Amino acid sequence: MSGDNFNFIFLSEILHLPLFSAATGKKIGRIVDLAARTSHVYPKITALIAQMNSGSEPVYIAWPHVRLTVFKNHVTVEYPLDHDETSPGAAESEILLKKTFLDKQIISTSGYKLVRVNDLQLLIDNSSKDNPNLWLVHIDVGFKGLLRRLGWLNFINPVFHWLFARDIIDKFLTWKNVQPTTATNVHGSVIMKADSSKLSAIHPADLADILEDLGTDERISLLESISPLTAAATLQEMPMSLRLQIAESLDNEKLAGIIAEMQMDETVDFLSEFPPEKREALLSFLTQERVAEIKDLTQLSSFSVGSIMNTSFLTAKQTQSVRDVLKQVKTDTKHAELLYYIYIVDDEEHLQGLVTLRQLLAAKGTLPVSEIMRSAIVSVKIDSSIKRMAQLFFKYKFEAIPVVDDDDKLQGIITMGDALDAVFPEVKEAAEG
Amino acid sequence: MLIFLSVIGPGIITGSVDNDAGGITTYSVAGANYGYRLLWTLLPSFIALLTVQEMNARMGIVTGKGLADLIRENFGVRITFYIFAFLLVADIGNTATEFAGVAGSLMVFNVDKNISVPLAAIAVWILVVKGDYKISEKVFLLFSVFLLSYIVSAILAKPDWGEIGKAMLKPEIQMDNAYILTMLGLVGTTVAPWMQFYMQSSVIEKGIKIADYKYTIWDVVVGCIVTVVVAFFIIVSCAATLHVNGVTINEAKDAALSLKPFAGALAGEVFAFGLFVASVFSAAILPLAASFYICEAFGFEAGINKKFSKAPQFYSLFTFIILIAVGIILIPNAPLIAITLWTQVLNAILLPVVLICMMIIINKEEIMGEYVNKRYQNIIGWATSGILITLSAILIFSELL
Repeated sequence: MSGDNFNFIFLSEILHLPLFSAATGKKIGRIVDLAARTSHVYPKITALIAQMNSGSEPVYIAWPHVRLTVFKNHVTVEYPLDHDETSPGAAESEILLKKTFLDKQIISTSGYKLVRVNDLQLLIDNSSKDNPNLWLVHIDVGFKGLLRRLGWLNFINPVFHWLFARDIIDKFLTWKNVQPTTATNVHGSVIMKADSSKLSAIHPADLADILEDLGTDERISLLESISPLTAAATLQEMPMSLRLQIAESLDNEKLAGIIAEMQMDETVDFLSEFPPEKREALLSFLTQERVAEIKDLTQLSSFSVGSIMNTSFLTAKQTQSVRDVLKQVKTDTKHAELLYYIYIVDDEEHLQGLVTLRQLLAAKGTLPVSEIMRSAIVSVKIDSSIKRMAQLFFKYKFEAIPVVDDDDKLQGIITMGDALDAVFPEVKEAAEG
Repeated sequence: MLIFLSVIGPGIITGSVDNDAGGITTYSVAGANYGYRLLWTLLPSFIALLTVQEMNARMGIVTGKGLADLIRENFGVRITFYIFAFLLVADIGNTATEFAGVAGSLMVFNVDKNISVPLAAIAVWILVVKGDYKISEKVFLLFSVFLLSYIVSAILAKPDWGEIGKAMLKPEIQMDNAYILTMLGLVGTTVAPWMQFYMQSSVIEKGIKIADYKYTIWDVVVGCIVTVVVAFFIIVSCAATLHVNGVTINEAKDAALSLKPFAGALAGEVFAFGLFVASVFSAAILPLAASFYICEAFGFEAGINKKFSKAPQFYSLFTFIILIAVGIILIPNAPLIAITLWTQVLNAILLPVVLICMMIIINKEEIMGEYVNKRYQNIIGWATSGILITLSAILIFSELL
């Protein structure tokens, strides 16, 4: 660095500088990080984070306590802090520069890609009288920054100059064109949601490429910070395996918010990849119209009868008498959806047959129901498609179809009404509206 | 099963690349010189390999970041730079060994190395630069299957199974220098530093969910089993023929040639074919892997699916490594033995550094969350690292003095 460039300094040249006490003139610690507030156009340095000779935890020394800065040599501060004096404490919005940027990946919003930060360039503003202010202006992503960090720049640059008659070029991004992927604030481990306003200029397809290259945490933090609409457009550009990987780390409400903004066919494809419980949980966050629309598109292929079946129905045992069963029907009238069919099961709930109310009324009261029941009956498996179920209704014109599991145990019924709702939801909607 | 098929690949490919030309040489020499006496080392090698690979798979799935990324973000640019400088040199050395394997194996079929090596290099370059990852991965998996040809080779050699059983169950450990060095070589060739980077990156490339981690473990286990099974049969086929007849060898190619008079021409040719496949396979993966982590760590664009103009550093690096490696092999009287030796020393220096970094990272809760190492995993992990570090130190010490 030549002398005329005095107004700039690199973060790597400030880190590890010794810290002297203004009172005693003795070395009391060293600088480990800088804190900055990002609310300005360029982040303004607000504090030093120092590792003191005494004490193990790094301390926060607000910038006004810095008395003298001899850059590249040492910094003098007022410390221990006088607590009577109103000292500006660490604010939530202050980020740590080293922890947030150095060696981390950031998004170049002008180049639409991920780059790794080698160094940060700060502007020294000497206009104020006592203590210069520092502003973060450039992100160094070039080879020169790498050499500086490795401590080789002073050796390699002259060699390069001798060979090619010029210096190695700096490769900077201005602060305005970068987006951190996460930001660590002064309270340490807290990861703030990054301010993502700069990302809106990037096309979702490019953003998807960038997200694919990011680590899991950064990906989630970015997705949570952009609008659900942008997030949805971005997710749609990603391969399904990656979408599911991301879905795994988002909470249901957030994920549902994004899904709500996705295109309908994408939504259906995406939802069909989830296990039923997760899918139901996600649907519960969506508006009713949206859910109806989704079901409209999916039920005929991928949604199974299990999701629309009714679980209150009438059953009786084979050994019960007709009179007994009739009495039972009377008491169950309130709960059961359908009174006309009474399903006959054995002790383990395996479906054996059915009797209709008409049969019961016509038969002698002392007969066991097994004598009058129909035993060859049509049922559907709980995981069969709604389309299959609809076909059965068309073919047999039943009032209801029993639903059984793989063991042939009775799990529920689907009435003609349920079936109609499921197959023609738009008709239902029109009728209800 | 379907999920298993969708996550399968990284572990098996890494495990197969592990049996590269250098590995086959080490196993052949061990078999020829010591018969079945070193077979037992495959068991501890298996455990070490499994422990290390599992940690890499877990780190990759949980963080979505490559090992290079994690090391740079947690230990800064300096250590990362030196790791990768060493790794690059070691990788060029390794790749040269692979092309030597190509040359040697095809010599058995009377193909001149001035023809075979450039052709193999061009084939590898086209596969990686012009092909896409899905196709390459399938080709690589197919290669892994071909490695099973060593089983054929070993059976043709008609080994004494009773003696093998005895050697495995009751190992006789010799305390002389040569025996210990060969033993170190066997373990060292099984767990190599580049593998950790490659494993982690390919798990990420696969996009595996945390929920599917339990299937990935099986991919890792199968990969490790493939590694030791292939190693086992190479040692057996050399032990059953060469050792019994008192033939000593220095190179894998010698093994293929020497097998012919004892086990028939077919056994020798199958052995040479296996060597050829392994060498080409690793000659593609090693430079690819190196280009990947170097670009990852220093922020250049990388990826087989990108165009040359989009990722110039990545492809230049890949081409550069292959060119140098091929150059070394085609120089008349290239000091191959010295290159192999120095590559081994470099790997032995790198391994402890990489392992310690890994153990520190995988225990950080802010990175791994609930997937940090459990107590028993730490015990196995540190024990494995400790043993490998000690072995590396002995290896460096004995080869440099």
